[in-house]
Amino acid sequence: MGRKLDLSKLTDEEAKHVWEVVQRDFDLRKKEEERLEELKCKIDQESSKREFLTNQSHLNETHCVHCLQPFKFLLNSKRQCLDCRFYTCKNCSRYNKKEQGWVCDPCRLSRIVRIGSLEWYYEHVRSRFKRFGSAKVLQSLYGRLQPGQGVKSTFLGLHDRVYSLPDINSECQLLTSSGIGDDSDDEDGVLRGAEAECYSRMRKTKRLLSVHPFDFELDSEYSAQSRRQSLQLSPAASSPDAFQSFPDFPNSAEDASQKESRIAEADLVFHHILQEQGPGASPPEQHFSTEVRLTVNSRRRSLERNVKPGSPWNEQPQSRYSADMDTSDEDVKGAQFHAYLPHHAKCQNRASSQENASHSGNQVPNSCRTSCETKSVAKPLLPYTVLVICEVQDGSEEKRSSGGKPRAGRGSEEAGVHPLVLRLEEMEGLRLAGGQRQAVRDLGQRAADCIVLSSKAVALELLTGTSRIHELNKRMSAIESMLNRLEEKILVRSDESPAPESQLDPDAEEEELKRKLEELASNISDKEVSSEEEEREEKKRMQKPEISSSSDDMARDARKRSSAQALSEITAKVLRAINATEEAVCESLHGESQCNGSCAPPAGQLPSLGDGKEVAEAYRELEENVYLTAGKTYQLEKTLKELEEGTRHSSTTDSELSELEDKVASAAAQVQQAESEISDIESRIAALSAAGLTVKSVEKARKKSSGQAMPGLQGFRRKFDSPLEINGLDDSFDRNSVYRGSLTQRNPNGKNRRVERLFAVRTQPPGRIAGLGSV
Amino acid sequence: MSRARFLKISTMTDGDYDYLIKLLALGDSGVGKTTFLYRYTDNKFNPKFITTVGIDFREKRVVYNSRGPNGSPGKAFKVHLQLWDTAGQERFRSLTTAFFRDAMGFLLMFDLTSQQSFLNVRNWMSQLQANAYCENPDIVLIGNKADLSDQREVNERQAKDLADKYGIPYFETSAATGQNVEKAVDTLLDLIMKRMEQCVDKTQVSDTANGGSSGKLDSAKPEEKKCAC
Repeated sequence: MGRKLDLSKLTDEEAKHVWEVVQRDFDLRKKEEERLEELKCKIDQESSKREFLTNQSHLNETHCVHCLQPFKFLLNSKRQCLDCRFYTCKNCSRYNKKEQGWVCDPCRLSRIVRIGSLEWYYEHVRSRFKRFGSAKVLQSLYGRLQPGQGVKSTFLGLHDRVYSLPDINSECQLLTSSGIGDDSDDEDGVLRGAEAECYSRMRKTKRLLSVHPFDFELDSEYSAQSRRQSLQLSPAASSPDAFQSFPDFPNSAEDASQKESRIAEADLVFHHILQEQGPGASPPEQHFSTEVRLTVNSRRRSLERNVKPGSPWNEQPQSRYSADMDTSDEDVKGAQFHAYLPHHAKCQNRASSQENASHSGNQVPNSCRTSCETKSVAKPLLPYTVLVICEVQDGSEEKRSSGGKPRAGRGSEEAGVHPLVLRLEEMEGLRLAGGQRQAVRDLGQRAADCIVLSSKAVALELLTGTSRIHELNKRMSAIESMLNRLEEKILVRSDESPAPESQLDPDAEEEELKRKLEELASNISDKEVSSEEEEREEKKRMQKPEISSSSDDMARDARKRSSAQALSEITAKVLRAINATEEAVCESLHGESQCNGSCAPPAGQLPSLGDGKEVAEAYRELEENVYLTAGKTYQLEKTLKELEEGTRHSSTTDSELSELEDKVASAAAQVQQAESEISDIESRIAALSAAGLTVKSVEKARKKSSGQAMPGLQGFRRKFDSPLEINGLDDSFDRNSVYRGSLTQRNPNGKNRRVERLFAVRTQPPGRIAGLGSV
Repeated sequence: MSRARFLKISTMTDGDYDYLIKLLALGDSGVGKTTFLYRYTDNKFNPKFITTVGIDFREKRVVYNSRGPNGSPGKAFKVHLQLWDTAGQERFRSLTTAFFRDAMGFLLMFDLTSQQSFLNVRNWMSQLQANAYCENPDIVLIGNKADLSDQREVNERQAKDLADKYGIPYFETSAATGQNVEKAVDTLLDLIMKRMEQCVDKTQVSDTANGGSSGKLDSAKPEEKKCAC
């Protein structure tokens, strides 16, 4: 009873209404799915961080596993999380009255996800029904609205496509593995007429045609995988074929859906390429974001394909997909400027993937080809794979060398990178300690990477037509001047440090350095504030035309906005990288001068063992935080790439606009987060030196930091590096490993001295310190 | 059941919520499902009768404040509600019942001024048992149009007895005045939240120590056995 779904009594109007409601429901489901995915991603990040931190078993005894604040008696007491059993501080956990215990924030989040994912509920639905209600209705509506015989096979073909790939496979897999699904067969057995025929077809292909709750829960890695495979197998064959199979199908919406699936695939692979290329730009952080991005994206795509297989009503022939078509068509034939950026980006990708060709094998040509399909979907009936390959090969050389404005963007990139690198080389020429050199190079490279990005943003600017190059240049020169100052400082310091003054007055020196650091920090925050204000104004300006203007203008506005956002992001990123460099240099300078200063520490300053350990750890934490922040930066980078992509596809629908807006908002949030992280690090530096770091015996401190801190750091880096190895991105990986190697070298020279320096700063009665470490 | 408190939040488009919960209103045609939901989401009343075409849904964002066993304030969760509205007309029946499985909780409504709609509650209950995600989902029985006291055909005693028989809460509401509308939905939401927490607790080995506190509350309603999840 109630099992059959007979929609034949519905009028067309009613059926349409129902269809629209079901679409809304699918949208809501999609959003929810994405939300949960994001939360899961956050949890994964947190747990990997924890996993690393708890490799040092002692660390959690004295520090909050979440915020890494040291526990202090009474002031910051530690409490154990009920779920993960780690110790956290009060700020990072909440008291659960029901369970009469503390639960740390990440565990609380994962509880929410566990409850919110409603596993039990879907388990029930699954055991009673084959698919959820909306999907069932959607399917029946198909049957109802496509009754004609000639169309039927075509429809089924589409049906097959719409509900296939990758959802099919996973559904199949899941169904067989869970051994359910047969109990509800009768549900469809009562479908009548056209539906019955449809059903018999479905039976043959055994559930290959249905949307199922599983589709929303399946392991997304699998889906991404399967789609990639399908692309590899038949990039050329599948698409012309698919179009020939419905040659005279009247509904243009079906075509659109076809195209859209191509776009989705191309997008996916394009993402994939971006990710392949990503690590080259910013090495250690990609562990966090890439895979997740991919899966989220693929899932969204797959869902979209389910939801928008083309409305059975012909009322919206010009869907946003066809809008996409137009844009991309323009790209192919149209102005060089417009075509430039996508090409530029792709060529870079291509170049980078070619470098890795020997490792990633046949995947590279395929993904290359597909990335360009994004562009060529406009002419799906042409043998476009060939076309596209040619286009890429021609385009990459031709358009790169074609002069004009795009060239300018490129020029500024080179101008930006090279001075930096040179300057870094100069720094090395100063014969700084090995550790310093390494730190400078490492962090400087990051800054350089960021500037490469900013050049991309310049290209983006050109695309939108609003040239703000000189503004960017201004920023870059500001950055350069900051680097200059940095350099000066290094020069001054290295001159000074051997001098007797610094030995006599380490406190004064520290004060000065701190002052400079603060100055720099305030400088940075000023800048960011101003750029944000600028953004805001710009947005305001854009708001008005957006309301009234044509769709073209809206698209441009969206582009403008995203590029503006990207710019401010980049500025923040570069500044941040500079800041990190500054920090590292300062610290290594501390270390150096301290080595000189504390070679013969007074007998009264002999430290206690436990504190030496603490200080070493605290320093290491700082360093870790720098890396974590760098990770954030990398995420920002990814966001930028997404924005770029969004710009390329900029179409005029509201949904896309709002999607862009969402992205911008989340990017802004990320910037803010990274900012706060930086300030956190800063405050911790301050706290570290202010909190009465007592003097240690030189030997002990050295032993401690080389024995404990370094394995930690190495482990951390290895963590980040490993995914690179897996992906076969040997280019970037090699570079990293070089860095890593020298990072370890740096320690005995640089870091220990730093530690010693810190110890010498202030002396405190040993008794007071004893209480610090406990509880 | 006033242990939970709910507040409306203005923004709804973002994903900034903790739980998505789906409710569904069902009952005879004309009992006031649509106006009830309209009152709940928009706090407005539309006296015109416009029959619902098959299905529809509304959304609302609320804050759920769970209370501890001793009534002390507990955690606050942001909840996004999807409120399914179904057509009561018979000709849409097979369509609407297909959506029963998409909801976690049900507002089973009848018209206090229509004895027939009350008698049909039994039918709706069996429809629910057959088509909801499980045989004993969370349900609230609602007698609507309480403001029309002069036309009343169902007395409170009758309805309360029936609700007790099913082990579900009963409310007399008025979409026209707003009486008890929020309270009824909040009660249902509370039941669902409890079930959600409980079901997760059950699947977990570690968290069972104190998970029974909400179970005690449920045991006061013998007929609504919680599903074995």
